[in-house]
This record gives sequence, structure tokens and C-alpha cells, in this order.
Amino acid sequence: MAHIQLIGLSKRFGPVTAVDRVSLEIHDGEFFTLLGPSGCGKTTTLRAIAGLETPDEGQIVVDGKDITYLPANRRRVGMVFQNYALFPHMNVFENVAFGLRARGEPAQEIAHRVRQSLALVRLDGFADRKPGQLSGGQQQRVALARALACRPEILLLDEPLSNLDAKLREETRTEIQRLQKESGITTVYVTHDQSEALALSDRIAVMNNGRLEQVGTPAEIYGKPATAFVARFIGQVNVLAGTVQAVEGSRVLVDLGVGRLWAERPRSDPPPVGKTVQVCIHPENLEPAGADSSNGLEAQVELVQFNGVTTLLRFRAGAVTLEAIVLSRSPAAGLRRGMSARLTVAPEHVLILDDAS
Amino acid sequence: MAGLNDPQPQAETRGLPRPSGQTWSKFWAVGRTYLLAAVVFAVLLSCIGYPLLQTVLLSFTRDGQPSLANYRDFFSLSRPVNLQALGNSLYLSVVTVVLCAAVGAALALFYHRYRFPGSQLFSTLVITPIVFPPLVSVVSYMWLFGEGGVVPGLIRDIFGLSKPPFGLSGFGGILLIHVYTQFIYFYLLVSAALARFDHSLEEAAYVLGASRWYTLRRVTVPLLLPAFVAASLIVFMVSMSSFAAPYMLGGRFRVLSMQIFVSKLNGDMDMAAAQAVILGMICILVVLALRAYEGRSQYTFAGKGLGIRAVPITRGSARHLAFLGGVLLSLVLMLPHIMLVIIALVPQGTWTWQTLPPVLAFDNFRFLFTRPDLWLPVRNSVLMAGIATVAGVIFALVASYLLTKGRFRGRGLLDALVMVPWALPGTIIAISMIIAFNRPLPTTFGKVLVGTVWMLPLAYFINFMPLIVRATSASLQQLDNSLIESALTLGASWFTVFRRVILPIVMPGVLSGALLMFVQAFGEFTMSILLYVVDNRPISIGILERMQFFELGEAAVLGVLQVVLMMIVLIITRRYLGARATQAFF
Ligand SMILES: Nc1ncnc2c1ncn2[C@@H]1O[C@H](COP(=O)(O)OP(=O)(O)OP(=O)(O)O)[C@@H](O)[C@H]1O
Ligand SMILES: [Mg+2]
Repeated sequence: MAHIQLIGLSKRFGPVTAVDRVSLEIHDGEFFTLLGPSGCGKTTTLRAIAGLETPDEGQIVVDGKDITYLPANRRRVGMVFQNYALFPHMNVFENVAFGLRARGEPAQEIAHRVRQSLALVRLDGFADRKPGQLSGGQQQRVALARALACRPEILLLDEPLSNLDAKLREETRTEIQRLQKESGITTVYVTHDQSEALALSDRIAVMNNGRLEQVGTPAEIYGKPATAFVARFIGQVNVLAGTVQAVEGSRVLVDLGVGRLWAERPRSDPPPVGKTVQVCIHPENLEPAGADSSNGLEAQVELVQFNGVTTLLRFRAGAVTLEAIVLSRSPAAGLRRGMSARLTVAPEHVLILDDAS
Repeated sequence: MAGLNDPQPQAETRGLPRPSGQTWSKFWAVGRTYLLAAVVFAVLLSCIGYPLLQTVLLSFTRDGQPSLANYRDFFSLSRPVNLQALGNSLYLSVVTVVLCAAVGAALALFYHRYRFPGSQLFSTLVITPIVFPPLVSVVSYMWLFGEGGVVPGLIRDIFGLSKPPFGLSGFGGILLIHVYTQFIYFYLLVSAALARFDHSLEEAAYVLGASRWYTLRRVTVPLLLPAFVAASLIVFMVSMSSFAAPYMLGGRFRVLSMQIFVSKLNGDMDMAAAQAVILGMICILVVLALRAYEGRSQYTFAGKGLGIRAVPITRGSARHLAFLGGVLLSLVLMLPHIMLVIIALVPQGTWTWQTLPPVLAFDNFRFLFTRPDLWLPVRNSVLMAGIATVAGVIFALVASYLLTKGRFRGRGLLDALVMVPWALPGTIIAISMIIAFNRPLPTTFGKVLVGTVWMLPLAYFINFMPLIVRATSASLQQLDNSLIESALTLGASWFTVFRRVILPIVMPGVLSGALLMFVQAFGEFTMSILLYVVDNRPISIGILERMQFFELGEAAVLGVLQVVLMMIVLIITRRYLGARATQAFF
């Protein structure tokens, strides 16, 4: 289908740099997500791929062809807009048929493909309705059917779930995943919801202020965040400041002020001794009263929150707050406010973050 | 572990060779908007900017030499005709504003405060004066209240006087017509403000211990003030520009817009230019004040008011009184329309010495189909207003697209330029066209336009184009950008997007704007009298000619035609635009 390259892409709106020298590669058939907070430039990047924004610098290359300035209507791109953008004066059939008609397909082919697309999103029987007579979820599926009816090479989705209620969002996201896997179409998905991104994507690009922070699989982005921004944005993680005390083989010793922890040595050059660094520890990797007691901190329980399968424990050690998540049936869940415990963590779960940001 | 501490696993960062034709595509992608903007600016500058510039330049010359003589003469104290006219214009406008404010606000308050049988209908009937083209309302008033008019005649008969007690003319006559045609601005704007007014604010003031008087002074009035200020500025501007009433009734009471006309008749174009510049400056200043004020007091429009609660009148006698008042008021407002219809039904020569017409028949309407001196002006006006409207629609679609969807430098300028003709009186537009187009220009295909039939359609286009641009912009604003964009990503060409997405959605707005523009151009008088030639006499000139031949019935038939057309348009546009239609009429 299609392989997309963005090369040094930049777009400015007056003083605002919406997209700042973004370079990335999206593979054929991949479900690729642009993730980031509001205003970080996701939509602008997506619109540049669609041909709706003209970049100030850089290139957009699809299957080896530079399409940076190709008009939107000559790219084979399907796009689902955040507000669905269904034509209010046309019924569902006409909406879905719009692109096919614009391309001058024969009437029979159009009828066939529209029926097929509507079946794909399970909306057969709704062809005569006007968009105003559909629920939000149905409108969303019409928008999807309309984008897919033209058999585009690339599917672009801009926060397609953000206007749906929580339950429908779950359902639709499974639906989108199914459609994407069945059609194998290269898909670029924009969202600011990290759980959505983690659940759906083959790979994720995390954006901040127009720049790329990290690109990787959901497991990499979640398990090995590269920067404090990514770590904080992706999940409820502990990010602590400390100074490097020693570097030994694949381990780095970091002094956190309230204790010392061994951390995983970063793949890039190890930080020099004495340097201030930030480390990240996922709450599920912190073990209150764990078996391996060599790498850990003493702390006091400040809060216990029962959440069903898991229990959240918040600890305080000096000025540092740490959160741990344990299975509710484990002994650690029996800790109570005010009790002391030793929190241990395997060195490979203490990540030294890039301090670029 | 791939990706750890490696924020940007870079893709190919070396650029690919650009395919040929790239420069053109890039230019097209970026420059499309500018290309369209250039076309629109070219039209605006050659139709509006250039003539106005020529007028300003001419005002600083005397017999071809640079000179301040025109302005010296204008402000000369030894021959103060012009100063007097300026003074008269300002005085007339101020008095008009005060009277219109009193009448319009009183009616708005009354109809919003009280409910009684028929009050809904009566409050709608208040807007009847807007279906009157300027010249026709003046003519009807003359038949009603002028020397030898029906009302003074009736009074003479009833009281057995030897001659009619009064006859409408001069300052008083103009003022009466101004109030009749312009109080509506106050009525509409104050009504709108009252509808938005949040009654709970008054209650909050009472609860805080404020007296009724204090609440009125500190809460109610400040919240309604913006409507008054806006209406005052508009009425002031309309009065300053008013031409038909001073022309027909002024006599020796000269106003500035008449002076321009007189200077032109005397062939003193240098002076006409200076007078136009002074009148134009006043109008532009008023519009700027209006814009600045609207910008500053926006908050008053933001509130989601609950509206002043209408109080049903329950006491029987008061209800009857209110009903009677409503009927009387509606009658007074419709009197000129009734008069017009009656005159149209009087066959030539049957109404001589009687106070009321003895015979009514449809003869005059038949003449519309048989007499060329009646149907030619109608045909001319239909043609010229039609041409202007078609040009207006095309121009408005492009200009509104740029104004609402375009991203380019100079959009503010475009917005301002488009609205200039709305702010300027017809006299100025006509005079500046005469000044600019009396020689061959590249923009007029090397022809002299003055003296040709093309001056009028062009003038109509310039003067009324803002109406349709505003209507079109309003509906384009409601068209979400993403609809256009999704059509593009679906592979539709620009033409398809325009035909299948933009046009169906903005059609009601465009159509309403086009209809409004058409009726305004159809009944236009001021520019018509300055620019018409034998071959394109429009309907308003037709009325004037019939009056000169004392063929009042025929003149009235032409008037009825205009009023009926305006009524139809008002009804259609109200469908599409709702209450906004009424305001769009101005
Ligand atoms: N047409 C525009 N004109 C001016 N500024 C714009 C325009 N479009 C986007 N921007 C600015 O560019 C920046 C990036 O916008 P973008 O819409 O790409 O963000 P986003 O990541 O999609 O955010 P969100 O999650 O809120 O949709 C923002 O600061 C925004 O204000
Ligand atoms: Mg966005």
C-alpha cells in the first residue's frame, strides 16, 4: 500500500512553530499514532500528509515520490475529521459516494462500493438517513466508510473517538483496529489519549511543542520512555531527580538524596559522575518489602487506595513521594498508613532519562 | 531495548530530488489564495479606490491647477451657501436621530413590555416602512400631506377652512419622512437588545436594595446603551446621505448632498469633488466610530438574556385601549402604502377638485403593458439591477471566500474596502464615478464610460455589493472548513467542491443577498438621477417623469410595483435569514 516518509517537516503559523523539523518513517500497512498534548502539532502534521497544509520546509515522500506540494485532491488519502465533516445536505449514501462520484466511477460500481463500505462499518440500512438523524457513533462510522470507499492508500484519523462517550469509545476503537488489520491500509492516527495510543498502535510518535520526543512500539514507549516528558505523559510514573555517584559496567549508581539506587546504564554515553539526572520508575516495578533487598529505599506509607485487582500505595521518603501498584491479594497490600517498608526495585527497571527537554 | 534514550530514531534525513514541476505546484499551493485576492483587490481598486482617489485629487484642483480654492470657497464666510448646507445637514441629522430615538425606543419598549390581543401582529407591522424605496415614500407623503394633499384637504373640508391648513415642505417635510423611514433602526436595535436583556439583572439589583430609579440608571440604561449608540450613528449617517426627500421637498432648505448635485448640474466638478470629500469624511468617521464602539462594547451582546418578561394586559379597558392604539399606529404606518395604491387606482383626469377620488379602476396597471414610457423604465431597471446582481453574486462568492476562509496578509484591508461603498452616500459614489470614468482607462477597456448605459449597473454593483458580500460571508462562516477539506481529500476537484459542497450550503445566504441587492438596485434613486442617460432611464426616473407630466396614477403604478417586489423579497429572505433579514435591508 504505502510507505510514508516525513523529512525535516516544519510548519509555522505566524510566530507559532506548529511542527518543528519532524522526520519520521511510517511503514507499509502500519498503524502509526501521533501522540501528544493539545497544541503540540499533531493535527498540523496529519494535515500536511493530507495536503491540507503546505509545509514551510521539508518533504513528504510516499512510496519514494515527493508529494509535498501535490494538491490534496490528487493524493490517494482518506481522512476522518474530528467533527466527522459529513456533508449535512447529503444523505449517508451520497456522503459515502461523494469521493467515488468525484472520481467519475460508473454508477453501478459506486452503488456496489458504497454498500460494501457501509457493510464494513455495519451501517447497512442507513443509506437514506441524513447525518443529522444519526447518533455520534453512527456519524463517526459513516465518516470512516466514506474515507474507505475510495480505497485510499493512506488513512488519516484525527482524534476520531474524542466526540464519543466512554463506552462507545471502547467499542469503536476495537472496530477501527479490526478494520485496519483487515484492510491492511497504512494508517496515521492522531490522539492525545495515551491509553488509546498504546492499545491501538503498531508504533507511536510522541510529540511535544512541534517536535518528536520519541518514536517506538507501545511497549518501548511505555516501558522505556526516553525523556521525562514521555514518561510523565504516558503514565503514572515516578520521576525522581538525583546525581550520578558511580558507573560500573552496565549499572549506574544514582543518589536520590533519601537513598541510593542502581540504575540501568543508558544506551548512549553514560552520564559523568556528579551529573544531575532524572530517573523513572514505573509503580508496578516498585516492590514494597520485595525479595531482593539490595537495591531499595526506606519509606513510610502515606496513602492506601484499593482499586479492585490492584492496590495503589503512596510512600514518602523525606521530600520524595513514590507510588507503587501491587496486586490486591499480595501481602504488600496489607500495609497501612504510617507503617514503614523497604521499597525495592530491580536495577533494569530504574531508567535514566534524557534531559534534553 | 531499541529506542531507549534515543529520542529520534531518524528516518532518511537526506532530501529526495524534487520532481520537475515542483516549483509550479508549490506556487499554486501557496499562491492560489493570493491570486484570488489579487483579482478581488483589482476589482475593488478600479471600481472604488481609483474613483475615490480621483475625487480627492480633483477636490484639490481648480480648473486643472493644484489649489485649495474649493475648500476655501466651501468654508468661506462671505458666501456661506455650503457652510449653511453643511449646517443644515448636521442639524437635520441630529434632530432626526433624536426624534427617531424617541419614537423607535418607545415602540420597542411598548411592544416588548406588554401583551394584548394582536400585539404580535402589530409589532411585526411596525417594520412596514422598510418596504418603501426612498423616492416612493417621499412621493406618497407628498400626496398625503403635501400642498393639495389629501390630509390637509380633509381638514379644510371638515373644519370649513378657506384653504388647506398646511402643506408638507422644507425642513419639516424632510424631517417627517426621515422619522417615518428611519425610526425603524432604533426600533429593531432596541428590540434586539431588549430580547437579549437579562431580566434577572434587574431583580438582582432590587435584591441588593437598589431603588427602581437607581436600577434603571445603573443597570437597565447601561445595558441598552449600545443599541442606542449604534442606532444613533446609523440614523445619523443615513440622514446625512439622504437625497430623495431633500430633492423633492427641500426647496430653499439646502443640504450637503443636494449641494453636490447642484454643483454637478452647474458643471462645477471641482467643487462637487470637495463637497463629496467633506460629506464622505463625515460618513466614514461615523462608520469608524460605529465599528470602534461595537468592538468595545461587545460584552453586552455576549450575555444570554432571558428577555424582558412581557406583561399581559389584563384589565379590560386597558386591553381595548392598547388594541386600539395598535390598530391606529399600524394604520398610520401603512397610510403611505394605502395612499400609493389608491393613487394607482385613480384613472387619469377623474380626480380633479374632489378631496377624495370619485373613481377607482385598474386602467393604470393595464398601461404597464401597453405604454412604452411605462414599461421601458421597468425593463431597464430589471436589466440593470439584474446585471449588477449577477456581478455582485460572482464577486461576493470569491470575496466572501477570501474573507472567511482565506489566510493571507491584507484581509483586514479587504474587509474595510468591501464595506466602504456601504458607508458612502450614493451621491458620492456617482460623483466619483463621473470624475474617474470621463476618460478612457485600461480598466474600462479603453472606453469613456460616462454617458453610456454602463454607468448605472456599475454604480448599482458598487453601492449594493456590500449587502451580498455580508449575506454570503455570514453563511460561509457557518460552513465548516473541514467540509471543504474532506471533500478535497476524497479527491474532488475545486470545481466539484464548489458545486456540490459550498454552493448548496451557502445558497440561502447568497440568494437572500442577491434578492436584497436586486430590489435595492431596482428602486435606486440618488445615483440614478446623477448617472442615467436616455437609453437606460430606470424606474425611479420613470416615476419622476410621470409626475412631471402630472400622470400621478402612472407614477403610483411604478411605485406599487416596487413596493410589491420588496414585500416579496422581505418575505422570502425572512424564511432564510430569520429576523436578520430585516436588518439586512439597510
Ligand atoms: N490555521 C492556524 N492558524 C494559526 N495557528 C494554528 C493554525 N493551526 C494550528 N495552529 C497552531 O499550531 C499549533 C499546533 O496546532 P495543532 O492543531 O497541530 O495541534 P494538535 O496537536 O492537533 O492539538 P489538539 O490536540 O488541541 O488538536 C497550535 O499552537 C495551534 O494554535
Ligand atoms: Mg488537533
